[in-house]
Amino acid sequence: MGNLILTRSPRAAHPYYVPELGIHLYTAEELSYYIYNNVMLLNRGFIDERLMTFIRECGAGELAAKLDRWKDEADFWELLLVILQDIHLYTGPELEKFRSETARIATEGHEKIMHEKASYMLSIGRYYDAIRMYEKLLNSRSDYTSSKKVLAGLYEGLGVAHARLFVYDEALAAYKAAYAQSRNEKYLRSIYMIHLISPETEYPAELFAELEPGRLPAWAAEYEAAKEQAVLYGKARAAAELTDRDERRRRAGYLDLISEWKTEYRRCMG
Amino acid sequence: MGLILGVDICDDYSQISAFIPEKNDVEQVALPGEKMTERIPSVICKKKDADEWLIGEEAYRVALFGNGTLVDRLVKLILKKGTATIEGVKYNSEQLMTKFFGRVVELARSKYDEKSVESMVITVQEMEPRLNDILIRAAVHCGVPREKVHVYCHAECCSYYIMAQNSEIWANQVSLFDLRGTGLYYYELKVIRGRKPLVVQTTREKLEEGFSLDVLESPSGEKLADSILTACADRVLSGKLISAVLLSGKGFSTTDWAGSFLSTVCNRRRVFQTNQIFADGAAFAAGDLMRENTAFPYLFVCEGRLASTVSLFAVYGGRRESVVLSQAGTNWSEAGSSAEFIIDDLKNIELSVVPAVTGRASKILIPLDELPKRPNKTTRIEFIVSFSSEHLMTVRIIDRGFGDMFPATDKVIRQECSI
Repeated sequence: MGNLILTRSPRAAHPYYVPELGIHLYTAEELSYYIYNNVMLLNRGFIDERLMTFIRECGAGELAAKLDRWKDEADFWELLLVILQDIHLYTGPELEKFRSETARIATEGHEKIMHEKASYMLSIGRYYDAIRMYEKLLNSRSDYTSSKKVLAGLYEGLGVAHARLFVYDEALAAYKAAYAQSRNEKYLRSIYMIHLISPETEYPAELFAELEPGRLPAWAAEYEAAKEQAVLYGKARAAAELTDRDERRRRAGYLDLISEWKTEYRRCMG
Repeated sequence: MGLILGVDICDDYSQISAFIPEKNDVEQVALPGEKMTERIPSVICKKKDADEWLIGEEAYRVALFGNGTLVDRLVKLILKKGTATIEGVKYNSEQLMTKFFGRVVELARSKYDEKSVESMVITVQEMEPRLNDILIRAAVHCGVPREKVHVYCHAECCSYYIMAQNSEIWANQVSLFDLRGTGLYYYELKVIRGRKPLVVQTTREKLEEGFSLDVLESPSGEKLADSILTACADRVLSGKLISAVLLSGKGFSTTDWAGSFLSTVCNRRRVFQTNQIFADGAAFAAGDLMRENTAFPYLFVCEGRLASTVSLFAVYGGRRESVVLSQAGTNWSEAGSSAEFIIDDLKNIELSVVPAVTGRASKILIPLDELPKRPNKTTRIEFIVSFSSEHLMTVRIIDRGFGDMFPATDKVIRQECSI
């Protein structure tokens, strides 16, 4: 059964900035949501004086005092749980789920967790952080990275991150490496798409020779369809919507949009 | 200590009373002049070629001799958004009421030689948002801080007046006949015992038997009026256990003409003639607002007060609790409230409405499907409840987003509910 959650905590006078996401948190509930959903971004350094000040400003002085007392002794994940319990945004079963997840992180092998973190960074647009993590894992030569399937996944992530940064040569090289590990056709598709986006990149004809006839024309059609759809979504659409406004509002809209993109770009840069 | 005032503003005449804390009682403030009178005709007159505004009998006198322009029916003028043009200048109803109100308050200030007002309750026959707002602004204009001004209706001030009297008076039901130029009004108060706090229910009714007070200017008219009122008293009092009957209004300034009516109402009941019950009640209410602990520990249910408690269930501090949005017995003009909630997997908000008198709950459902679609627990809403009468509640739900993660759209869901 659903519920309403009554919130009485004040908005902090000085919001808490989360550089990883490029956002500010204003209330205790937002902090709780951030912790619950971004556990991969958090490490022991998270519970610092800046966080304590924010928690105090949210009217949770007792919680800040508790964390202050326990921060040197208690387990980091336990401290996060204390924060979530105190704010009461999440129910008992939800907190139990969080506890299991943090327990898994605490016991799971370092490389596997780093792989998950890299994928998470990729999902939130922190491409450089993701690339650094993928490269570190690829150079580590541990048991975890000896599996071909894992290696293909790491190269794939690396390829996606480079492609999103428009570094197509590097992206293509990463996809080739992924294909070499798993021989999965989806990597060939990605390579072909990169070539269509950036025709000056290498065209590995020898790889495509292995494909069934008709595959490449089908992918080319998919690419054309996606290109047509692109103007209807995301940034292109946001910019297109401004063209109907009058001169003054259009100009202000463009400036806002550029500022938003700049922030996003800086965030991606890490 | 500043003044504690009750001001009764009506279309025919207005009255003002002061609460005296030392005596724990009220005093009536009269209009100075040859005939000291507590009834101040609700008229204002601008003296010809002078920026001088007069009220009451003096206003009539100056206008009668052609030395000024008079405007009457000030409340009606406000309700119909009227204006008056005096010496080529157009005045709106608010400007005229502000001048009139200022002069009325000035009477109390002169009497007690005190400028500051600590608490003021203005009473009107019927609560109308436009009238209430104008009266509040008029009070603020004459130097009363906004937070110290309240507007109550006659039924409510009648309740205060009666409950301030000895408990023998309200041992059973109490009736009030208010006979004035605008009609005959009947109020009935009963205390519903066995509840904590005691519920005091007051109803008001405009009786069809009302007549013009001009009728009382001839002996035959007086006789006719007496027989009309007698029949009326028989009708409204029959079969009821009434411990006291109060008579108020200009029509009852003398009861010499109402012999038959008096013998009917006096039958096994105590009867009181009161000069300014509503202004006095308002002054008692103003005095009570100054106290830390109320001297009226009752739940007033009357015109102007909410008859039901409106609440909803929400989780606070991990526990599911009832959150009261508006409490029965609260003056509807002051009963609005707001709270912020986060929606946790909820499609509709269910409000519970519990009448103070019957205690039988009913439900109101407010669908949330117009709010933006977001992940669970990332929609914060501001829930605002306001009232435009004691029976009509407006709920507004405003999307406040969830910080930078899910910016607010300020989308509003609005629903009007009869309670």
